[in-house]
Amino acid sequence: MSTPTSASPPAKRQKASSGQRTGHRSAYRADPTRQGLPQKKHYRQRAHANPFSDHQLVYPPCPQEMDWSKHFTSTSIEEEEEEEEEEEKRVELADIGCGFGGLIISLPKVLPGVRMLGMEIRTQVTEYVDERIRALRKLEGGEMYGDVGVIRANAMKFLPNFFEKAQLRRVFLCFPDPHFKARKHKARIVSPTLASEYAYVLAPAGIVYTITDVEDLHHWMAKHFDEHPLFERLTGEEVDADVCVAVMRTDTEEGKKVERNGGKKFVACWRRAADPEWVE
Amino acid sequence: MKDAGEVGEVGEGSGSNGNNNGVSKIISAQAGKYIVTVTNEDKTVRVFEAGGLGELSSRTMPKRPCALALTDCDNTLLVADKFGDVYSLPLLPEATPAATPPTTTPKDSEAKRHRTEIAHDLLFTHKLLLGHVSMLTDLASITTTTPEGQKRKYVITADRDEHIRVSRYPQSWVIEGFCLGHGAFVSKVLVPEWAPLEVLSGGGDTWLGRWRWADGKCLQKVEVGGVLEEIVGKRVVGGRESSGAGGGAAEGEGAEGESKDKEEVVKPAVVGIWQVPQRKIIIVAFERIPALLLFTSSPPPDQSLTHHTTIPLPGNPLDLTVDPSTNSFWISLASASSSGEGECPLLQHITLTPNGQWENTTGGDKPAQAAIGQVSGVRYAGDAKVLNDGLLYTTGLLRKGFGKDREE
Ligand SMILES: C[S@@+](CC[C@H](N)C(=O)[O-])C[C@H]1O[C@@H](n2cnc3c(N)ncnc32)[C@H](O)[C@@H]1O
Repeated sequence: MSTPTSASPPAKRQKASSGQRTGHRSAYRADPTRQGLPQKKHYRQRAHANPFSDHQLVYPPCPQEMDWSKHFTSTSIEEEEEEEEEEEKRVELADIGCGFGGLIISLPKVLPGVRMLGMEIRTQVTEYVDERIRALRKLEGGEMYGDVGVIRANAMKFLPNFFEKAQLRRVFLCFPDPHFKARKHKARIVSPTLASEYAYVLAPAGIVYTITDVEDLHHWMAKHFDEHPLFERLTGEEVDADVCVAVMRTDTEEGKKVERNGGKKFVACWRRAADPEWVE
Repeated sequence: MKDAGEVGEVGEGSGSNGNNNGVSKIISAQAGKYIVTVTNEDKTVRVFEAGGLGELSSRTMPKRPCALALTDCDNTLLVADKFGDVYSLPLLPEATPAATPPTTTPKDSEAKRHRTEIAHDLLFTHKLLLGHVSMLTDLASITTTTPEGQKRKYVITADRDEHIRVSRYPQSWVIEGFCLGHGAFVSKVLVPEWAPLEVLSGGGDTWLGRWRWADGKCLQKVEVGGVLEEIVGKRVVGGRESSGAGGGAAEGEGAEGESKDKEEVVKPAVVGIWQVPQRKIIIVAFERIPALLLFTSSPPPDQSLTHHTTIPLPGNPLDLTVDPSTNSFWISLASASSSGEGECPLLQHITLTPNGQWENTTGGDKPAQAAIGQVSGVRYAGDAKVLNDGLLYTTGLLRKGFGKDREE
């Protein structure tokens, strides 16, 4: 939904009761041709959720109290009893505003074994991604999705509730909502003050990836990360050499839509610098 | 720096002509040489000379300021606002125009930092230091010294979404950590003078937090639910939501909650945490609960807090200011009856005696008598509900689930 108009055939925003939706969903579960995979159209929701409101969100008071066991299935589809006492793997990659989940579904191919989390504020969209991951885990070769998870969260407010300082190696901000009006710029997922929060959850040398088809938003994000003392821009060669960049260009739902419409994609990435020396 | 309280609000806003530009914050700076105020309606920070009260500067902020602090030896003002941002301003704009640029910043980060500011077209020197995507509720500034004698400064910010954040200063884009664990909003933080590596916190939970801010470790959860229950005679339930899980009905009505079929419960909301450094005493007040809770701190290294005594009050506490030289404090009150009517002295003066007791010294204190004489004439001309829910008791409103923020 990089622009409200470019949104795909606007699945008329029916105020269907959740009961109705559930009906559709159980139908696809029964449909053998879908192999248990959910259909996007049953999970439509209005385009924007206000990142400033309370939303009855569920989040842990602190990262140590987060129970990840519902979100990941370490190694295989059926829980293997043996691998119990192993130290829990930590999330290392976050896709912020993951939408319908295309990126985290594709990334395991290039980052096998890396535990990754999609964060999405819209309930129905999150449910869709969750169903999708669960269904994929059951298919042949689905083991790799054991380390892919999704959570409903307002990442602009609660990132430090989920992740400890320097926990993440990669943070993705793909086709963020553009919030064109200047009055709404504070709702953008990148701002000077939020850049400090991304720096907090990123380990030194960790990378933040951005992509958008809105040139204005690209310049906005570039300005704020370029100007932030804890981020260094990756060079063109570094960007091209990163295995995640190609996936980010082609595999998110928004990326595909932009591709279909022949739009341009602006990519920029930054490396988390080490904390500087103190000044008095 | 000493918090001089918020006593002004009722009086200032009382004009029947609808002028509600109440003074919402007052602090004194540089050992009482300057007074800094925030006024609500015009979002303006004013600095006065304490002697003659001449106005030295008047700076209008982009959003309504909700907390003030000082750093750089009281030369810099920190202003937190309702939109989640913290700005720094030189206390005296003329005297320190360059706002002390650090000299040892590594490669171009200083230049970068200046460019990082969001343009608000403010016509005075200012910096956007940091921001939360939340409503800020309180702010504290800390200066420590390393064993090598270097100064290390930090800013602690608290928000409505349960966060207590520790940032460096002036490199405020480095978030050092968080003190996390509150289940409801945090409304106040305080760094005790005798325990500068700790921060105390309070808000909508039935406990106060004691944290080691350097690494965010929770040192103690000081339970207050039982003490509060004794005072109000009802069940006291903390937490994030204004109703629901706790089965509460009393929100927004505090101790005088409307009764529904459900059991009436009281949702606590800390309105203030203050210290009496010489006695190592912490004073805590809760919204619409007519008492003060006093806690003592055990000797180092433990320094844990213990509830020591409860001082009953003839009305609901609004704000308090400590006179450290006499170990006494003034407390401003509002009538505990829901109509706002009734006989309630608006100021009390309480002295802590050497044997660990307290004494109501309002009668014997000349300045207190004079001040009471002044303020007792002030009456709020408007609607009692507006006065109560809009002006006097705003902390409980930080709790989630007050209609306006529901999704879809
Ligand atoms: C335009 S979509 C892009 C989705 C996906 N990244 C893609 O490229 O296909 C932006 C998504 O960010 C989500 N979002 C916006 N603000 C958010 C926040 N504060 N926390 C989590 N998700 C958010 C929106 O709900 C929306 O699904």
